[in-house]
Amino acid sequence: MTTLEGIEMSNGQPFAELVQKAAEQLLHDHPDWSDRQMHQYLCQATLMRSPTADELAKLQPLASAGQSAAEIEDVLWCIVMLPEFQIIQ
Amino acid sequence: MKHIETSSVDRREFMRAMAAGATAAMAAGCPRSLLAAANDSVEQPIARADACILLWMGGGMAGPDTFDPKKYQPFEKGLPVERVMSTFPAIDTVVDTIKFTAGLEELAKVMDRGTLIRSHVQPDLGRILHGRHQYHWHTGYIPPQTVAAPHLGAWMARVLGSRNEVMPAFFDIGQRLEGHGEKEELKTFHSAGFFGGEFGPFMLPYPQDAAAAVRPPKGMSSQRFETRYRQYRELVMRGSLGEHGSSFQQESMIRGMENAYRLLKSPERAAFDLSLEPKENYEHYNVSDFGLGCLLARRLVEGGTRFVEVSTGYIPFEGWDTHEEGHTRAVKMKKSVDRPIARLIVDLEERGMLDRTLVIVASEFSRDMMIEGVPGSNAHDQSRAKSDTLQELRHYGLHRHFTGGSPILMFGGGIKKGLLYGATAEERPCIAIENPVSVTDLHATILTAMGISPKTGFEIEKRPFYATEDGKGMPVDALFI
Repeated sequence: MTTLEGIEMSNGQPFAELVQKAAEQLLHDHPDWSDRQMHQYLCQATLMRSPTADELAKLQPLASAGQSAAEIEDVLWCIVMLPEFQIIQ
Repeated sequence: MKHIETSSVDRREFMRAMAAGATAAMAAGCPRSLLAAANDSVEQPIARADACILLWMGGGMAGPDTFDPKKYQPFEKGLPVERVMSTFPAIDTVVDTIKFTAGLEELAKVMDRGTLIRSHVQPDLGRILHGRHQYHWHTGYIPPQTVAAPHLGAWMARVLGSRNEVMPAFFDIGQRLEGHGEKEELKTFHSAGFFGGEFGPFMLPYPQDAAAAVRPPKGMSSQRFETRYRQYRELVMRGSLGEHGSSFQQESMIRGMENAYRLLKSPERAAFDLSLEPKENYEHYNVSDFGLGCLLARRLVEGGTRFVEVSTGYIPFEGWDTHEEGHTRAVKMKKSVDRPIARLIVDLEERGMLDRTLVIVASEFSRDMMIEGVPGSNAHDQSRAKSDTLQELRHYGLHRHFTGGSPILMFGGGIKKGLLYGATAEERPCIAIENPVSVTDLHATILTAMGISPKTGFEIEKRPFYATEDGKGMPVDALFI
């Protein structure tokens, strides 16, 4: 990956808007989900597996005071930026 | 804002984890240096320059209408076109032995800082296509090739790396890769080829928009941006990549993300912002997009990059690609490049950077009023203003591609000052008649100035691939101080 591609993934407007839209939709569709439920869902939907305990522990503090679209957006961005999601093995 | 635990992973640890995948990377087909593999005795030359700026006159700049004046013939209705050699009168430069053509008065004032080669020659590639010649000029290899040949800038990025770890090593300014007829051809060589994307160009097609490319996302605070990236790194480290390393592609992706983050967070990103340049100096460059590209190149070199190409932007039948109205178009093109290039040279000199920065002005070939290719070529006549006599201004200009001799300017980086090297014939065909310099040897000269042996090679797909064709490029020693 070039630095420019990395930058586009990090700050490019089209991609940022997509992630933002997805986060808002998720919050709208599942307003009652806990952080844990949301993180489990995001991992299953993107990585086709449940998050490990370690991963959940890391994600948990980020969203400990309740969900917001921005928080879901950041978690979603982190997960879809993982090589595990980006690169087909 | 919620509390975020401080990352327990520092940068050193993160990079160490990345290195853990090196063994896997080798197995995955990563190109290997022949020097390392074969313990070869290729000796790398002592670098004369730390950075390189290539100013690309995309489309085929006519030598007789720029830096190699021939007999001047003003427009005259009814005149046989074969009488036309140069459509501009010659002008003096500060070097007694060197003349330019009218419209290059600013560059004429700085010719004592560099060398003019008048005998650069390209092979006759038959049906002349800009894409093929530009590919050849930028990679040193005639297409098609069985492996993806790296751009000259990618060789510098791969072998030397950047001078500042935050800055990408290779920038390309001013060339659009979308929205025109030869975009696919251009993409083939605006690339690091088999070196992989990490060593490819950081494309900035519009210099005035460069600052926007390196800002954190719109509407995101810098604290949130930093937190998000820290969390991402934690997730990477807690996954299998952090524990065991992984494939070349995965490693490359993580490095790309890390490089992006570092640049977006760094003070060096100010180099991208032309609005920070003092107004007076900015205005010297503000005559064209190319001019602003020259300014951006200087700022990026100051910021620590290794190689920058600034292009007038090749688009078929635009810019220097003059198939009709050649004279009128050349007037405009010269206006767009003369002052900015001259200013760049003086600017670098005033900042004490010129001696260690190699600046090259080049094009894929020259042009002629009558000859397509070289004498005897089977290339198609591509003039769009065919006429035996000058009837209107659109007939007046050098409308055919010519590969027998073209000019190159070189400044700084250990290159002689005020030197004229090589010559082309005064009468048609204006082929190089003295000291011809091929693309291969020109590349060898440029690479040698940068401290890279022309014999430097990498093994890819179990075959050697060299910085110059078959490792046979010979630097033109007469150009060096």
